[in-house]
Amino acid sequence: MSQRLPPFTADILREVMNIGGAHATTALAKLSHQRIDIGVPSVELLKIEEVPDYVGGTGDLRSMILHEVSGDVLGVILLSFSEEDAHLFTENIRMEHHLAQDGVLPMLQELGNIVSGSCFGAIAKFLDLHFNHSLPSAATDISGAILGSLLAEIGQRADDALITELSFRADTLKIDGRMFLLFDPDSTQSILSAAQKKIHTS
Amino acid sequence: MQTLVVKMGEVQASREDATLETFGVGSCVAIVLYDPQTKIGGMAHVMLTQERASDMQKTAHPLRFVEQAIPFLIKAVERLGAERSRLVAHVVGGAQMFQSYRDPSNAIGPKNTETTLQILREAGIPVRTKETGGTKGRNVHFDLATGTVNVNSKA
Repeated sequence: MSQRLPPFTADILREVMNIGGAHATTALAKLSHQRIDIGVPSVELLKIEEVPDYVGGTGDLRSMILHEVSGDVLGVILLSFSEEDAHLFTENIRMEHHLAQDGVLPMLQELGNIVSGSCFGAIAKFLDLHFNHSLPSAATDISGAILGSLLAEIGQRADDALITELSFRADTLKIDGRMFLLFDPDSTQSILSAAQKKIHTS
Repeated sequence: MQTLVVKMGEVQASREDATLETFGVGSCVAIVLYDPQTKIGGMAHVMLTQERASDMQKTAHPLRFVEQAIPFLIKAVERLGAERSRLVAHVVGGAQMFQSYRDPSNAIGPKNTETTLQILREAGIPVRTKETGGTKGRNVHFDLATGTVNVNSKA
């Protein structure tokens, strides 16, 4: 597995993920009225072909929400739950907010909008970068198929992908989720330059 | 029986008494080649066509691309003793899992399928089964002893 990120670079990217992840999970906590615990983010620069093994469970069914981001960086935010956890989580939110019955996928899309907005809003503000968001897509499908399709998009432009991962858990409901940010390698440089500028001016 | 997992961007070939599997075929395409007489076969899991690839990418990651992976797969099964004229193909995948926000016209899955079928046609290899398109991911199991290809779409 590739490990070509210098430690200092990885630290900066981990901090960026921390900021985005903290805002995203705070949004999730507010929405679900649940305490959300987050893990330590991991950051890897991997060959496109190595990413599915890194994420694992390529043949498993997962409920995933994805948002593409463009502007100063090209990337994707991906939220991943087991099908049962996605159902439980959206049902909990629906009941907490007295919402009308809706399918899991439209609820997940809405969830994706809020989480992605919070995550990238915080990162953009921290780094003084500009991001455009796509509309969210949500699907319950084979994990590797969703991931592979995303990677094929990135693979058209790049050899590697920068992947950051943050796991989170809604303790009372025992729901586990994983959040990934995938960036084109060129975007890594934009993020690092912006972060270094921030460090020098603060 | 030996089970070989073919990962994204890989090609594997084997003889009788092996199963080749690949998981999570979305816009990618899984190509199976089989010689029923010798029971030698192989599988490729390709990601892209070369349409937008740089020369450097083509050199660095040849098996990522349909145009390079299929000739490689043909050679791999021939090297094990398969006869080119007896080869049959099965093609799975090429779904459109989602529409690209940045480039909605860039339908990777359908392009992968189209190019795969064209290359197989040019190579004179008949396509025995084709399970392509749609919006769902697929897992593929290929039993070399029987030549059976099972495709399951969980969603």
